Amino acid sequence: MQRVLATQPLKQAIGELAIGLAVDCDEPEEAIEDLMRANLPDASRLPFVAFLTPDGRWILGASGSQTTQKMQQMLTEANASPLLNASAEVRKALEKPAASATAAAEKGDWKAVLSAASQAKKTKGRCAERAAIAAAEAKARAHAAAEFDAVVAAARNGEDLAALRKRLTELKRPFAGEPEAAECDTGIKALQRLQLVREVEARGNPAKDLRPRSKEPFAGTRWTAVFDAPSDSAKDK
Amino acid sequence: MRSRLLPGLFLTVFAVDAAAQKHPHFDDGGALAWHTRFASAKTAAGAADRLIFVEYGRKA
Repeated sequence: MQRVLATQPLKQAIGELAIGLAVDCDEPEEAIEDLMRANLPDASRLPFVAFLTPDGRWILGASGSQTTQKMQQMLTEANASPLLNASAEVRKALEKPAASATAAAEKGDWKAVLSAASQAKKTKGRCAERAAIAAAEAKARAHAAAEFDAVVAAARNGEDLAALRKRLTELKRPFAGEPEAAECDTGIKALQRLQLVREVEARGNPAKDLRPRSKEPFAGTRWTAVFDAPSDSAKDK
Repeated sequence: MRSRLLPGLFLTVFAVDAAAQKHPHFDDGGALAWHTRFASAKTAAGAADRLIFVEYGRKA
């Protein structure tokens, strides 16, 4: 099985469409054991493989060794299963949020977009309405990411840090409760620290490790970049 | 307060990620993020809108 899963293009396809559940046949969870018994009653050769819906309903499965081609075929078939589709009720419930998210994304009303995305996450199943909401949500996330990149670049370019902190504060508002809001907080702290760095440097003769030390608390975030040596254009400011 | 929230958020994210791991019996070359509990697999699959691929076997 490991060789089959590691073979392209199956490796990429299954990685994009599925997550794995490894079950030890000597100590299976009862729910999995029941699923296997009910849907592969005559199976005798290990391994048993199966594709389930995200909420754990059976789609299809097989027992014994599988070729890459057979696995690819099963994956394609499972991914086209009608069991993955949203019910008519869900589609009806997502109609308005989808329309409002699409319109809101055009206007840059990210709060409305994220509100629709939050509503969509309470329901299940694939449908055009959910895809529309996901597309709007992706635009919101991309906007925030672009803003972060722009703030980092502007900080490195020597621009006014108070204005950049304000920009992050405003960006945070529609993203309240989202990871981007925490990212804004981290960015604001980084810019506050950079302000101190600039002040120390302006007084002259700063410690050589002032910038490396200042970036340490932000290791693993994009904000370390604001402590890198100022860009050439910034030195002229 | 903010400085207390951030580590908490990090720990939460880390805990969710920690549920997915390598396959316990073989190396699939990183093809899949594997779970060993059904509940954890359903949570991850639901969040990412992905299928659950079950491999039911025994260590070779």
